[in-house]
Amino acid sequence: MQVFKVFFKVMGKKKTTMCIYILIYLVISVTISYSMKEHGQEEFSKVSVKIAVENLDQGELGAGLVSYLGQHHQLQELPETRLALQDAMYYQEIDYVLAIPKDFTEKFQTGQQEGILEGTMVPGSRAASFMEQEIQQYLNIVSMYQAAGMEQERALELAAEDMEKEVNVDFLEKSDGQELAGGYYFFQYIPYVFLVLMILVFGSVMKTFQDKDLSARNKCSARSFWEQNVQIILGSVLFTFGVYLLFMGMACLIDFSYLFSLKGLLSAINALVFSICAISVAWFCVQFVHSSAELNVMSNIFSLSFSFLGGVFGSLELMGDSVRQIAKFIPSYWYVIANQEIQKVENLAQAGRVYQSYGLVLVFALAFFSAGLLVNRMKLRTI
Amino acid sequence: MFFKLYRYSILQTMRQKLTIFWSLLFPIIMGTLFRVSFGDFMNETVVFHQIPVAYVTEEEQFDAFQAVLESLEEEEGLVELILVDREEAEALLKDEKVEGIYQRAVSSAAQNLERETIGIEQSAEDITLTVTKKGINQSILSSVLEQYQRTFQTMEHIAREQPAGIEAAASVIREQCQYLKAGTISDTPKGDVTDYFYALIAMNCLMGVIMGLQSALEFKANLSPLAARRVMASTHRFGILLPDLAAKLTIQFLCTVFSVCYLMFAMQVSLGEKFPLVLLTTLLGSLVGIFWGFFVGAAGTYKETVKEGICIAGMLFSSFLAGMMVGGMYRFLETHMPVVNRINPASLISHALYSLDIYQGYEKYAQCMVSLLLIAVLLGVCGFALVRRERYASI
Amino acid sequence: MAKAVIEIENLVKRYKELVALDHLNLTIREGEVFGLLGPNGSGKTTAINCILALLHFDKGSVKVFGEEMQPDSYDIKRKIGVVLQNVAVFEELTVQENIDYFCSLYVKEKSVRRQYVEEAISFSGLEDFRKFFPKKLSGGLLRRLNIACGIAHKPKLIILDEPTVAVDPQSRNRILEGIQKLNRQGATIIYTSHYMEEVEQICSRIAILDQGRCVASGTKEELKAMIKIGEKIHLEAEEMTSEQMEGIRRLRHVYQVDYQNGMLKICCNGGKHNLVHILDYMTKEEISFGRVYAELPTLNDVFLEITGKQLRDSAE
Repeated sequence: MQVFKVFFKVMGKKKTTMCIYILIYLVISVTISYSMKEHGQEEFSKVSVKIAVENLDQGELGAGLVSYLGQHHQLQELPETRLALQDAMYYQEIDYVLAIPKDFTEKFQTGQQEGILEGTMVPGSRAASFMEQEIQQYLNIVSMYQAAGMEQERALELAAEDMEKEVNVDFLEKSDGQELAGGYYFFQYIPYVFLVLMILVFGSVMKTFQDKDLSARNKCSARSFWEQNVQIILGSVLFTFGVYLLFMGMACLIDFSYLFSLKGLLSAINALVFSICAISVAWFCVQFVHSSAELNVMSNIFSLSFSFLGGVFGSLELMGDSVRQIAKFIPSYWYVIANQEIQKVENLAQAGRVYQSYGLVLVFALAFFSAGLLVNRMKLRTI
Repeated sequence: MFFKLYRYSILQTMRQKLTIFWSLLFPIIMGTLFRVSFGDFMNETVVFHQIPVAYVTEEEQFDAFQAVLESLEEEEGLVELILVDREEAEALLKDEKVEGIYQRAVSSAAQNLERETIGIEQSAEDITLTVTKKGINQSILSSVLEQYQRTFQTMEHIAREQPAGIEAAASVIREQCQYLKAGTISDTPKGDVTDYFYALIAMNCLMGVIMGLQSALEFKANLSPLAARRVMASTHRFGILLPDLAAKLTIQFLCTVFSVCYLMFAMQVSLGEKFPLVLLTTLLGSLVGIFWGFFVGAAGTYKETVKEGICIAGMLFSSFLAGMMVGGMYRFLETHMPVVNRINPASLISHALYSLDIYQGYEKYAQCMVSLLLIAVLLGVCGFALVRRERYASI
Repeated sequence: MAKAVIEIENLVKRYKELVALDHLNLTIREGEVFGLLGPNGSGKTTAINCILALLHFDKGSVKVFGEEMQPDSYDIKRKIGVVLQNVAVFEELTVQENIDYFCSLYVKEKSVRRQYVEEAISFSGLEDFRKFFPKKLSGGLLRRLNIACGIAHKPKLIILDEPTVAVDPQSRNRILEGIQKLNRQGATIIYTSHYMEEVEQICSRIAILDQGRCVASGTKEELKAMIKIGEKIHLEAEEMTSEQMEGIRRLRHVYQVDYQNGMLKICCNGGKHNLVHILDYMTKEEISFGRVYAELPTLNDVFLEITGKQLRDSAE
């Protein structure tokens, strides 16, 4: 088992670099999982927004609008100067600024309603977008009452009542409506982290073995290609498993109860399956690199492109249809699908789509491994 | 002398194909990837593909909500309406062929009588929405139904209290007036995903770490034989170092400018209109990147691969904190750990660009630039202090 | 007596527990080709790095051209050309560009520099390889480029640290001839190597280092005179009895006799006609012999006698 031992000795020499990368990516995983949990909540439920209102209106309508907004959102004091206002938005102390002009009620009543209010939103705030829709709808309702001939006071009262109406959303299965666990977000970003680590760390060890002079020397030995490489494969498997266990340990710390639930088990298997795929991708990449700088480039290209196209970073729903079709040829896409499906599973029998995704990821693993092997053999012939 | 050495450094760096690839093409590849992944989402704030939704009703009469849905389908392309029974709808929902199920329950006779009294044929109350997850599409479907139900209730109130005004009220619905206009804090419209591009430009600037690292390795005599030879020359050490750094900064800056132009003109990403200041930001960002790499390279006698790892990992981590991989990271850090946003170079570069785009004044921009300048000076001074030592314990 | 170009007094350099230079004393005079000979780990490169003010040292002093050498002694550095053990050129610049670059670090005037660069290219025989990148050059050509970069600015003192490592014989001869030419043009050369043949060939004065100390120094003749061996005679002999070997041993000037694998090796200390006496004895004793040759002592013999080790086989 000499080659196996040498594999780990070489890896040991690179342990400093390895530790740096693993540490950085552990931190990234944890940070992402906390940040996305917060971000994800904004997407569906109505979140209270920090809004500053400049109400110059002399009529009742402005006050009515402010009163309605105050019931559902956090009214902030409007900074006096424009600079202070910009500061407040810059530091996310205010999400939205609404300017109600002094002749608001008058103009509204006379039908001059188009663009009557000015709203400034902090970009990127989905909650503020929803709130704009609410303002739009409130005013629409008031306008309807007004057009129908109702007194303004009554119109405002009824409008507030109408706006209280909320849709009852049912979930098909009880589990659909549940908040996503922190563990879900942690596992969501595993593909990016595993791809980078495997390509960088495993790749740097393999680069040593593939050094031109060293590999020529090894080829002269009495051991066959398979004899030499099976030990490297064993070493790789052990390394992969080591990294996998490290990240599962981190998952335990983040959300212990999730990991030891059925969903957690399926997520852990999902991550294991993907780690096999990641090492295959690393094996494939290593056939094309000649230096550590090239390895860095490869690791970033593969990890970032697989992650963006596969829906790890962005939401799959934001992608165009054609892009989604392309994404199906990327292993991380199936990992993400599995991660989403796992959240709906109540028992193992319901996890058919999850198993299907596992299978597809393994197929990709095999494909990358075979492609790498082919390139490796072709390189042998040209030397 | 300075220009002679500067010229040679430019030549030497330009011929390092991999460095050029890393600095030039990688952001282009990533920018294209962003553009492809986010696509039209950059121009609109709603998802641009139709949301398939099933509608289950057993009513045989005219269904107002169905009419609304059909109008949304034909005129706005927001939804794709599929009329099926409940069983089929559930099957479609489970297979994710539809994003939700609207269902109208059959009304009772008492309910029908009540509605007839006020002249309304159907109720909005008995429409439910069933979904399997909480996503953007589901939010939109919920919003559509909510709007319908509220409007319906409004019409019911009007029918009770001001029946003569029903037609006038209905015309308000048809007009679809936009009461809100966008505020003037930003001169140019900005989409949610522009932050990714700012972070990408920041990352591009910080890619100068590789060149800075190389500069240090080719300068400290205990790090390479080439450095020993250069240091032995009769030219002052900084007379050799400064042209080299200036050359690397020039190339990194030009690569970044190329990427910015590619994003703005080829990928049609709006980065604001203050182009000279965008260039100034990338120049300062590139300087920070170069000095960062130089400092890491000059510190200690660790192996080149370790230093390279520190530089690359640091740059990626910095870019991650600026929101390169996950949107909303800046907001998250601003809420929980604002100090990170004040010292992270990628966040500062990204936010400088953001400030230029959003705010008319330059105070925020100046703050970011001053912070970047301080970081550059600090890294530069520390780096130079480390290479000042002219004799080594061991070579 | 020529001026001293380098004066090293009691130089001590330690790397933690290891003493790399142990009270080293050396004086190198103008116009010399001074050889620093010693096995790997003897302190040759450390001594060079101390002379060049690249390394801290713990005790002693180093003067170059009569002044204490400091890292910012740029006037002194202008007169020094360095060719270090490892090839130190830019991979991304061509041969001509590399030489021009390093020359420009010493010579500011463009026209002068251009001339120097041409002379350096022609000196090292790289005219046909101007536009080549270092990656495309063979080992020998690369070494020549390394040398050209170090001497292009016509320094008065040239330090070459093992410049012929892994170089083919043709390039090696060329390098050695070039060094002698530089010396004839007025440069003082310090040449370090563990190849005694090179040092014997070109050096006017030699210092032998071992474990950080100078164990012997002088001209080749002076060094060889320090040891017992005056001459070594080799004979092919079929059979030798111990009495016959003892008989040879008792001949005048013979102090050591070995017989192994059919080869008789006889060491003589001085004397003029040792071969004649030995052949006479062989004939008288009717010992049949074949090939005969005699050789003078080498620096390896000097080193072996002084330190008890071979020059090339010493462990680091």
